[in-house]
Amino acid sequence: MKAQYKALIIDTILKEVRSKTLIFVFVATTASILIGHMILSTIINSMGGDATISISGIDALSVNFRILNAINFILAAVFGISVIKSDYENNIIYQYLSFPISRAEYFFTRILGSWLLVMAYYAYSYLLSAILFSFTFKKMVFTSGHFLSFLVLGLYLLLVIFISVFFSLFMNKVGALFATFASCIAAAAAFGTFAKTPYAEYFVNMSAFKGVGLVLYYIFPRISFLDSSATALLSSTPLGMNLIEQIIHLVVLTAAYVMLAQYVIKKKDF
Amino acid sequence: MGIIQITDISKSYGNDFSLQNISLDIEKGKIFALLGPNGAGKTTLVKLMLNLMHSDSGKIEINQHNVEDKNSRMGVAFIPEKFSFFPFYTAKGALEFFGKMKGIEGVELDQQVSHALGELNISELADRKISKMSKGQVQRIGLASILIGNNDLIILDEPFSGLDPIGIRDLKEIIKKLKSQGKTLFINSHILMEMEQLCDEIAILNKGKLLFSGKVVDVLQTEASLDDFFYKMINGDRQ
Repeated sequence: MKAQYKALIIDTILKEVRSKTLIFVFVATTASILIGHMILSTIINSMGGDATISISGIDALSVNFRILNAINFILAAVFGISVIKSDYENNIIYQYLSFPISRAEYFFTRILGSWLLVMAYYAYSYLLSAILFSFTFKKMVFTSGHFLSFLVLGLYLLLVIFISVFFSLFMNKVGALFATFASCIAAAAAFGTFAKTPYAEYFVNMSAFKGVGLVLYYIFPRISFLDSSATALLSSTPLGMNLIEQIIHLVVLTAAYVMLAQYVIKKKDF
Repeated sequence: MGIIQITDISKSYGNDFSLQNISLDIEKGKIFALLGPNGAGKTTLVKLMLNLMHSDSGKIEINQHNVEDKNSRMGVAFIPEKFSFFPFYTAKGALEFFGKMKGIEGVELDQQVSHALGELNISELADRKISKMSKGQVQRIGLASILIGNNDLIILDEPFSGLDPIGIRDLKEIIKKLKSQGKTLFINSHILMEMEQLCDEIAILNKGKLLFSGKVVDVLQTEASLDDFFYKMINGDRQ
């Protein structure tokens, strides 16, 4: 890796690790996982050696992971918004952009640094839950599905950070946070409506709302495909959609949006 | 061919011109000062030189590279008027970061950082966090950063502001030393007395227009001081 990229990624991590949001979420998550573990242990002990408990251990961990996924989505959005914004606010962005790096290199190394930090927190919370739940249920309840879900959701978080960084270039923090949540929720709603719908039924009972949803479904990268895949892996349920189409759409549209972002950043005045 | 070539650059904000058809050719190894009152367009020109902004027309080349090419910033050091950096860095850490961003690592980086801290007389601040430093000390860290990397062009935006008299004297010595090493210095300033003593060439900007560009020695052949000349140029432009 180029020394410049390494320096910028480490700089991003050093900067963001001091974030009050991260510290708060870290403490709150650790506390809630520990409290959840104690409550669960108490319930199981009071029930005696019920055979069904060992089966529901995996489900209990899956539910816990789904909650962690939601927390990490928020964390990724918050980090994405502040990672370049704070360079502005501290009047430091001019210093960074005067180094012999392109704007795209600056932009993407900042995203990568934030992502690595979110993933570190994500891995910590996953691991802590897996260890405690395994102790509680007296057997290994962490499955390969959980691990795959972790990896898939990691990609989702990377895209959420990308979206929030992009919005933060043009809006204040509150506006960028709102735009990130709104676009992710709208994309998720469109995905939820059309992903499992046969093409023939797209235009059945067409309304303005459905029309907007259909447009969003095709013009926005289907990041919800990753979110849904992670959830399906946690619950061991089939996705029930055309995987090839979803993957191709996600890759092509993400690449197009990355190129668009690169162009916009290149043309922006700082 | 000059190290900085600015050709017919214009930049506007809405209907207001910030810079109008500016052309300058700055020779290697000289100290060049861009002078002008507040709002003249000096900072805009520096931002254009560093590709922080895009011009409406014209082009700027540094070391024969268009400023849109990142290679144009290879060997360029820039210190903004109010240098600031993340408060959790120590002086040494910040300078090491600057070095790494210029592709320097290992023993060479250690040597350059020690040398830069020594030159600015801030070796005792090496392990102190920026959050624990005074404004003047932070400004000195910024100035030390221009000694990191093999820079042949140093761009200083109002470098004397925020410095105490000793800091000003140290900076002047550093500027002279850098010039003696063949470096080019582009200084954005409105402290004319300092510029008169230091600079080889000047340009005067007012309301986005280039009023004058030439050698300081030529100006001083007809004028008592750079201050008088500057006042005449700006006043003449007003009338």
